[in-house]
Amino acid sequence: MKAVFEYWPVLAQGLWVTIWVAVCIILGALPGAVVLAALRLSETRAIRVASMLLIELIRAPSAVVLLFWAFYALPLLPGMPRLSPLVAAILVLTLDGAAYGAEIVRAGIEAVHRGQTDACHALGVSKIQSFRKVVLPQALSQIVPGFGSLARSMIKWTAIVSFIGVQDVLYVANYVRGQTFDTLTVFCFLGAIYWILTALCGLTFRALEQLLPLNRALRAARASAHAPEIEVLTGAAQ
Amino acid sequence: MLNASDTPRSDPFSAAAAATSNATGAHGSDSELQQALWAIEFQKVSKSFGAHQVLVDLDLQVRPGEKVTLIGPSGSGKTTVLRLAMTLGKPTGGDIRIFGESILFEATGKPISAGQETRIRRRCGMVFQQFNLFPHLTVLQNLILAPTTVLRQSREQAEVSALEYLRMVDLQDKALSYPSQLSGGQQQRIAIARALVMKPEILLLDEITSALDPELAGEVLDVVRGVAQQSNVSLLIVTHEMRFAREVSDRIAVFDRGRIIEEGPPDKIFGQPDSERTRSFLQSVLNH
Repeated sequence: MKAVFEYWPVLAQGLWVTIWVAVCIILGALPGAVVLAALRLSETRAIRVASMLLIELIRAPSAVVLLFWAFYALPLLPGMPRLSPLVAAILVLTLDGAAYGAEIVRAGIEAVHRGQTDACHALGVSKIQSFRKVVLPQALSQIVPGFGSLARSMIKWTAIVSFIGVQDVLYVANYVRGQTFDTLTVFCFLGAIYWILTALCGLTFRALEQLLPLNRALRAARASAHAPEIEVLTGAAQ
Repeated sequence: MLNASDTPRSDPFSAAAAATSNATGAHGSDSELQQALWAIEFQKVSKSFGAHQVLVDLDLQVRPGEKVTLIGPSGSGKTTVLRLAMTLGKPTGGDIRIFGESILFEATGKPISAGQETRIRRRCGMVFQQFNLFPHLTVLQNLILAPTTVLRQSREQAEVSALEYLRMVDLQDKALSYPSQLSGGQQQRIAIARALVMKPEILLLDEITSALDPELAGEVLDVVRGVAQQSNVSLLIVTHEMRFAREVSDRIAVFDRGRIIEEGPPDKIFGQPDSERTRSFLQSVLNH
């Protein structure tokens, strides 16, 4: 443990970079996923196909390859800027997250029963209003758990940013290991850090799930279904 | 069950009736008046799904305030008629008019805009076989969603109106419940109230009791009987409840393979049908 305590200031700095990158890519992937999913569900066939190809193009290669491409290959193209390691890392992982997230959002929206939009149509509610007030609130019950799982993975994706020199917690831990040769302690610390970060992320999304309108309605239904049993039990106790 | 008559000041049906009479009286020329005589008019409407033709050159008219029931074997195109009237699909051919206005074409023959279509379809309401209540909203929220977003009513105004309709279907005590806390019959009564709260001039009822057991179906049919008796709303009903169809309808149309094979008053259709196909259908349904 001495290695961790001795090098705690640099490890904390690395941890802060990891958290910063994770928060940026998760928050960035969310609107990106919504936009890509909206394009995937477009009524225009050309837009649907183009967005599907884009999603597959982003998802197909390894994230490390994409990262190397954005950092090393992109500046070689005419007119393209040289990105800083941090910007390249955030950009690539956000895009990757948005591509995976788009399929979660699309599946969530498509899981809402067609009858819901039919009912909106029959009530004269516009498509945008029906999406905002009926489809999306129900789809979120499917989207949020899926996106929560993706967000946990995205925290772990941040480990690859050290490959292009971003000084995240893995980069710093490797440096500490080289200085102290206390490999076991350093990597146990690293494992614990990722465990805590992903657990916190999971808890955040679980809390978010509790707030979703459809989940609230299902909880109320479950409570009322159990109410007679509770009454019987309290009656028997009295 | 129906309490609307107990509160004459806030009779939910009167507005729909007034709207219907305004609609019929608002047209100037004779030809327009002639067209406006029909609440719903199908002119040579056909509809295909791929190679399968569901409707074949269908002509069907419903007068304002008239109660028309479509009966016939499953797959004969009855539900498609309702869905087309509600613009939940486009016909392959022909024209559909609501109070004289085409829901497909302008006078120039061009397709009508989405805005025009919305304006016309606001005159119709539909109740579905599977209720299609919004499960994430309470009963009251289900009823006020459309009035607040479509009619731009204030929340308070919409709630007052919604509670009147909930009283009408005898479910005012369920205003704060979620649909999943209600029985199928209660959900369908809420769905009827949700459609009526928009004060439609035409109400389309698509096999509204098919998903319910007989006891629960009875309470839903009681509500529709009340609507039929107390309001001037035009009803186009698809049902397999023959006794109910006979009792509530002004006219019955018998469907088979996308065509109306016979239509007339309930007593004639159920008593002395002309068509052999109608006789065999009724026999199979009534003996079941």
